[in-house]
Amino acid sequence: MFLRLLESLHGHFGILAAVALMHPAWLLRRGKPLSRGARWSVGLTAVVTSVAFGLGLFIYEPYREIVKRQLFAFDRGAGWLFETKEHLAFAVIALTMGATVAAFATARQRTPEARRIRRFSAAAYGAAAVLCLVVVALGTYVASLRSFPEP
Amino acid sequence: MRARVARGALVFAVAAPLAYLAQRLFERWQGGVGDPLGVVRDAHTAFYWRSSTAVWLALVLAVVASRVRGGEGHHRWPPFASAAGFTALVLALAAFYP
Repeated sequence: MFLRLLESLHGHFGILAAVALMHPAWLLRRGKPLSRGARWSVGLTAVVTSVAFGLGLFIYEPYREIVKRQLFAFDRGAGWLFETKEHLAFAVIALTMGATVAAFATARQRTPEARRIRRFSAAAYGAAAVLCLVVVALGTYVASLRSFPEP
Repeated sequence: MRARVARGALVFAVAAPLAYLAQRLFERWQGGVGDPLGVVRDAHTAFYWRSSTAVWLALVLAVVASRVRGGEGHHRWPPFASAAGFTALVLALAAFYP
């Protein structure tokens, strides 16, 4: 029951992260200094993405013991898709953390380099958003095949 | 100083996934085509080690990048085209070598 709830929360936070990551990508695309609202957007996006990733890490061990075997036994292709999802999730959190630190470090600077760094941050957020969408799609598909047992 | 930290952070963002996937490719190269039994029996330490090593390597590269004197002439890559290429590369590697 508890694991199923956490799995559901993980999925919902993942969807939220995929949508949230698009916001700073859009806000920072021109490289302008960050307004107060933009700083909130960057910070909250990092929090939501971290929560989604953290929940995934938290339930991974029981998932591996309870569900993963059944998943591979049921459909080998789906099992490999789960592995792909795992790799992409790491890429999403790395991109998000890097872009967040870069955006906050240059939030108010008006130099050409800071402007360029913010544009690169926007690009990193965009890449993270695309990869997160793929992660969400793969996760939803895999969860539709095998999941933690119902209480 | 702040620009240097930001530059290092962006290098981390790019280097960590590439370091992770490079390790995964090395594992696949060493172990051959994946056997599901190997994945199922895996104690999951592989993922933690792979992630930790990738983070460590990316942090080292980030520190190096932050210490390199930056300038307008040093990085002329277009941000969004670079990100699109990076996304395609990561997607392809993760999909074809799960």
